[in-house]
Amino acid sequence: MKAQKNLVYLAGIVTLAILLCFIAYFFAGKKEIPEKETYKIAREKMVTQQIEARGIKDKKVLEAMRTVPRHKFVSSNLESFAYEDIPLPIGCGQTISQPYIVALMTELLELNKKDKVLEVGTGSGYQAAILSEIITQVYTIEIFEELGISARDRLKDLGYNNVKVKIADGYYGWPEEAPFDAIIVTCVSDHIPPPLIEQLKDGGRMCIPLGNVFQVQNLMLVKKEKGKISIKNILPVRFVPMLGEH
Amino acid sequence: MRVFSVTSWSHFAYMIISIALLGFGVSGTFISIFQKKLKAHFYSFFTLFSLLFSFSLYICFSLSQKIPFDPFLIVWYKSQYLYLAGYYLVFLIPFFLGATCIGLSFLKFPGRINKVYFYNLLGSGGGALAIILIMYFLSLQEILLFIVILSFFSTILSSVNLSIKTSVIMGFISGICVLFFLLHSPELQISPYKGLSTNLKLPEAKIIKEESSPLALIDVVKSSAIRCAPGLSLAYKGKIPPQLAIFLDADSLSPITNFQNNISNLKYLDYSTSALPYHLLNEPQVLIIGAGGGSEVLCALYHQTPYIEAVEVNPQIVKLIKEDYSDFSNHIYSRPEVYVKVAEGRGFIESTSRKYNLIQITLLDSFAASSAGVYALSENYLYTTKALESYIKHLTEEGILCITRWLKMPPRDGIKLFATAVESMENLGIKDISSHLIFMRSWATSTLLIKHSSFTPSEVRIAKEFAKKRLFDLIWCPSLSGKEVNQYNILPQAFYYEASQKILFGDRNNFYENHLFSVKPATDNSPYFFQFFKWKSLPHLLSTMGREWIPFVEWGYIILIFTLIQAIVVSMFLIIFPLSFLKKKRTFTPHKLSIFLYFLFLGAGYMFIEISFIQKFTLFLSYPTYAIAVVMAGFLFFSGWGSYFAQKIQIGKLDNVTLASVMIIIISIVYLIYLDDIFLRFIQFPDGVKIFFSLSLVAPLAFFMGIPFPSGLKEVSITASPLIPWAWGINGCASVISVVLATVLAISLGFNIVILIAISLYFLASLNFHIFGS
Repeated sequence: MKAQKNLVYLAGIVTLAILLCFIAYFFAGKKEIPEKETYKIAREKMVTQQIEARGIKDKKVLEAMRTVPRHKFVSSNLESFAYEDIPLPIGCGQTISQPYIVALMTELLELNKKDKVLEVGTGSGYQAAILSEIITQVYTIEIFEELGISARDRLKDLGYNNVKVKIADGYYGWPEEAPFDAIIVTCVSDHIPPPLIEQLKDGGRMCIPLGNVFQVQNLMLVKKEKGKISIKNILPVRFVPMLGEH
Repeated sequence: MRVFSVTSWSHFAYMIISIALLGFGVSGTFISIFQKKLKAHFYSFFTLFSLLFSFSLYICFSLSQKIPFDPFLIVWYKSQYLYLAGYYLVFLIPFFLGATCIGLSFLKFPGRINKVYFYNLLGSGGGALAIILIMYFLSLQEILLFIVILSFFSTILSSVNLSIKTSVIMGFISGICVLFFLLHSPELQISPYKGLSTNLKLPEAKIIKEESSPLALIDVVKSSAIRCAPGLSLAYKGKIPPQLAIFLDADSLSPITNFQNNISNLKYLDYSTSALPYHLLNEPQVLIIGAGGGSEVLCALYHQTPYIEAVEVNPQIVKLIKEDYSDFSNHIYSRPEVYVKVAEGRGFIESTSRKYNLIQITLLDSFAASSAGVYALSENYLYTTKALESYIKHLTEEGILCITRWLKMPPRDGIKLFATAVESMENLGIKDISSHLIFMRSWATSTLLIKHSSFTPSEVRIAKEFAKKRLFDLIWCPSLSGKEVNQYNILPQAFYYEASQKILFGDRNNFYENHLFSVKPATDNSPYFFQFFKWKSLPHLLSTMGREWIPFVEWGYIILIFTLIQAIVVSMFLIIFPLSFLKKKRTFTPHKLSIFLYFLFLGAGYMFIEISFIQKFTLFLSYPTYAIAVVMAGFLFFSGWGSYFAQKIQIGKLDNVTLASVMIIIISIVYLIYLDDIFLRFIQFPDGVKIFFSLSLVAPLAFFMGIPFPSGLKEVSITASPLIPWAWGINGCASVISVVLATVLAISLGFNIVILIAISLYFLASLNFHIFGS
């Protein structure tokens, strides 16, 4: 009976100790690392572990990925997932691409500061924000009104003033501002819109994903050189089609 | 199943079958534990469970549509597992309640088990057939309401046994509920990642027509932003005419094109890979399989084809184009050179004796669904070796078979098609196969041309020019060198060319063995063209592609295995748990193991045979939905009669179970040997005759398959009656596992082996019957 009583006391003390440790850890953690700092660390980790590690080398792209607060481009309930190696839903059946895909597509465009870039499919505005860190003027078109308005407001609030958002059918591009040095299409289509090819400057590059809405299986890099068009299939995933031969 | 197909993707339909049978298993456990009380107040409990069943049908359906489960998100968010569990729980409830009513009847009337079972199977068989007809007239929500009303009616009937007052109260409750349900019809929550959902967000997008049928839920969507031209060449600079989008089960877009009666507006169709054969043939007689909204028919019209036979499986799509949107489609299906046939492609080709200059098999599936492995579990008789042999036999001497598929990365789909073509031609004894093939790809599609005779040098030259002008890459054609490949749509390596070389000239079996995906051709015995998953490749895929990517490569098969594992775990738990509980109560018989094995083997054997025959009849009846309905209804109906006469069948000293098992084994073997030949002889007959003939073939087998289960239960009722619900539960659990296991086995071994396993199970079951039977 006495032994049982002692056991109960012991269990009580251990529980109390665990609870105190947990509370101490919780408050200590909160005090040491403020929220902004947490996201900055997460962003740095994202760049080194997910992006650099997979072979992205363009310093401008890496810097932009380090700078743009990705968590501001997702809904508040998904903020904690913002720097994970995953795409996130943004409504209208659309997603914000996985960080690595954003970096890869941007790097493929080989951008210079003065380049004029058109983005088709603004979505949350994250890709446009990355572009705006690298170039002087970004043009972005969103077909879903709901997404376009919120992206425009978000970009304005975050100070990305060099991004022009248009709510329209991106299929026809932005003829008034054409031609573009680079075009980035972030939505999936069963064909590459002919008007976009026409609006691509000679020597220009266009990047289009192919896959389903939630995941990119491969990227198409379209180049226009001396009026000739070629497409390169970029595989964001390393794979070897044969077993035992690698 | 239909709801799952519409709201998410059809491979989740397997889960529903599994959940349904699990409900039966759980009810067996429940009745085992509480049998004394349940039996004592049978009529009260029966009425109560019947009432709860009626309620739960509506409530659980509505709840399921509130659960934000989305299969597309399951890899990324752990919370989706919780939602999936919620789905399981919510759907399990009505099946559990309904099954409890049946199980209670077995417990209450052990002497009349065969009759109770007969009525149960009669109702199930009638229901399986009736639901197909009802789907033509009612929407999914209306069907739900119809079933709820039917169920309330049975509740009122069962309450008559209690008192008239109770019946009046039940009638009143039922009336109120039906009125409420009528006013609050639940809405289907379609995944936002399905084509219909995303297209409805486009500017001014709206559904202008919705029709339901057992084949699919059809939605016609109008929006200025709808444009469909799969894999359109980058060299095309013109416009695409206005289109309406037809969605099947909220996905798989097929366009209706308004070309304003101006053929030149269809120029864009000449910039797709599937247009090549029209440049090689002069005024061909064309057969198009999978005509849909008419894109391929328009392509044929653009090339001034004088005779076009368009085969479309769904009569409602034909009606839409011919009647509802006749003006919009510029009356394409009413043109004098176009002959529209409502039939399933493979069935049509097997039943016609006509020969064609060109057979076109169009892109029938959506890219997203196809690339994610959604169709991995769907049998498809269009792309088997036998199917390709049939197409080739229906070509004229200079005729061409043209098949277009999506280009997938990592490469698998096109490669499997190429391998299937090569093996089919070998089977037909065609020599110098490589000279009969032209294989080409755009950035999104691949098209394979198979010619009955060899391609001539001038045809090869035309093909090369066609490809060059449109920036398409040749994968294979006679006299193609390695330098000519991978030029316009540049892959890191010439994967497709290398694969075609290995299939044509290398060690083909070694190639199949070592390729990352299963690219060995599909056969009629294992018609899983879209099944590419290989266990051997899993570690490699995980290391190179990462966990997150796998589901987007071969999702369907993984779901199947996941379902199988959960079915085994939960089923075992349901069997072992009540057994240990009953042990404490000192039950009754030394032959528990043989009872266990008997009902286990029966459950598995029955489902193995039923599922295998559904597949075999799919080819004969053409429409998978009809095959499921006819074969399932036939099995249930005639098994019911078998159950009814179970006690009256006996020859000499041979008991009815042994007799039935012997007959099942003999009939199954006869069917295994002769069924394919029988089908070939009758495939040209009208649908009505084929359905009658199918039922006649199913009847004797199903009749004898209906005998062992009630006979076994009756025997248990004599020696150990409290074990009846337990035996019923075992049978249910074995069925749960077998539905999934049959598909897993068929994918790797083929349906013939599944039938042979089923025969062995019936043999083993009859041996066990002799151990515990009196």
